[in-house]
This record gives sequence, structure tokens and C-alpha cells, in this order.
Amino acid sequence: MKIDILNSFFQIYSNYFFKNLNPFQLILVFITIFIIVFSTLKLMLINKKTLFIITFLIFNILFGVILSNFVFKESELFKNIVQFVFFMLIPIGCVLLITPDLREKLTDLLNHNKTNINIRKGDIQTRKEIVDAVFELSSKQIGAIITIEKYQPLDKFTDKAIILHSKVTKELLLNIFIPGTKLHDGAVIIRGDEIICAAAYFNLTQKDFLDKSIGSRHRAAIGISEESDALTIICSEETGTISITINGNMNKIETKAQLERYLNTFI
Amino acid sequence: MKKFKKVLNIFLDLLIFILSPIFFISKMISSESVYKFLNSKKYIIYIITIFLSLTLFLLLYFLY
Repeated sequence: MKIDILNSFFQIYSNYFFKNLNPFQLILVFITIFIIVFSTLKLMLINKKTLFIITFLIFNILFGVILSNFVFKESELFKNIVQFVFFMLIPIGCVLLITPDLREKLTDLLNHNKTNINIRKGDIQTRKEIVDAVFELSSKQIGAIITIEKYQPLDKFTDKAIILHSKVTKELLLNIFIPGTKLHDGAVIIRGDEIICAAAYFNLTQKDFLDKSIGSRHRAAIGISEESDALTIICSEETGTISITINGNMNKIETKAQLERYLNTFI
Repeated sequence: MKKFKKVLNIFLDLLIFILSPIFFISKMISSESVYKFLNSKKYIIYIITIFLSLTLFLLLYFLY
């Protein structure tokens, strides 16, 4: 069966479209095309992802039309295969365009096996600085969330955060989480001996059976531990208790030695 | 679920391989510098729109 979308569309209208139109109607057609092009361009400029998807779709349609009408003009089978592959991607692209969640899931799925081989591990001094900072924050009842990266890079969160690239020190960690400052609300991401960024925002966990008293900071920590292999240390603002999350589980930390043990086995 | 993911990955890799030239062009166009250029001045979008719609209109006019 011959499926030639563009040709069949214009065949219906070709008798009175374009060739037999009066100037007024031609202007109307031009205005319609102008509006379509303008809204498409506006949609493209929302962010870089939409720019990529729409450019991809436009080139996809162009390639599909060129291949089916000029390259595989003779072969009916190839023409149909090309049309199926290229035009099948249009609805998929449209769905991806309007659903950011699905887009993120697909990117995660594609990047799932990509692990950072050149991972730098934090040394003893870094671990000591983290432990000291967390316990001082706890004693002062300052809310904090510190995520330590393992093999899976957390670049999708660092892109939207405030990049620091500074050495891990107790003083800097304390300063970041002081209430009222611009960076205190989000998470700090640590890679090796470096604080990569501050004010990173994670997706909250979707678990239903969690205690209702658990705040958004703890939910975000569980969320990131479900998504990646990172370890997250959370300090509660209300009670000052310290917890860690790893692989979707949350454990309470009582002593410095306990937290050190966790960090030693993790880093 | 793991098998489904494997099959999906193979299918996606195959699709990416077939569509890699279009992917490459789209990635180039949607780069940081192009995005910044398009957002830098308000009138750029109007100029591009007029140019594209005129091209499209003339193309359709002469083809159909």
C-alpha cells in the first residue's frame, strides 16, 4: 500500500490550492505558514532539549521525504520501510516533547550502564572533614544534605546547581548550610576530594509507606539513593539527628565512629 | 524486566545508528552557542521566521 503523506495531502487540495488562489487567499496562506513557523520556533527556544527534539523532528521529516521521493523512488519496499521508520518517530518525538518525566526516564535508561571509571576516591582527611562538619551541624540543629558520588555521575543535578569545585573542608560545609543563605536549601554533591556543587535539587522519593513526619530533605535523600549508587548524609533541622541513605534505605547514625565506618566502606 | 531493558537498549542503539547523521546535525544545531545566539536578540526570531516561511511558501507554491 502506498503511503505518501505529503503528496496525498496536497493532491486533495491541489485543484484549488496555491495555483488557483487569488492574492488575498495567498496572503492568508502565507500568514498561516508564518504563524506555524513562528510558534514552532518559539517552542524550540524554551530550552536546549526542546530545541534538539524539534530540530531532530524537522530533519527527520526532511530526510524521510527526500529518501522516499528521490532516493528510493523505484523500490516500493524500501520506500515503505523508510516512511515507516521516519514517520513513526514523529509521534514519539511529540510525546517526548510534552512529557519531561518520560524524557528524563529515557535519558536515564540510555545512560544506565555508563559509569565513571576514572572515579577519584576521597582520602582520610576528606572523610574526617565531612564527619566533623556533619556532627557540628547536628549539634547546632542546622539542616543539611550531603551527597557523595560513587560510580554513577550525578551530572544531571550538578548542571542546574551552583558549581563550586572546591576542596572539602569543614568550614566550607558549615558555611554553605547556614540558614538564610542562598545555598543552604539544596544538597551539596561531593566527588572525590572536591565539593562539585551546592544547592542541587533532587527528585523526591515516590515511596508511599514512609512516615508522614519525614520532611522533604529526607525524601530527596531517599529519592537520590534510589536513582543512583550515591551515599547521602542528612542532618535534620528539627531534631538534629543524622541519617544516611544508600540504595533506597535510610539508617540513623548515633556516633562519629559509626559514620566513619560507613564512609570508609563506601568511599 | 532486565530482558526487556536489554531488548529496548538494542532497539534504541539500532535506531540511533540508523538516525546518527540526523542526530549529529540536530546536536550541532542545538548547541550552546546557537541557543545563546537565538536568544540574544528579540528580532532574530522574526527574521528567521520571515525567511523560513517565505522559503516554505515559495517551495509549496512551485511544487503544488
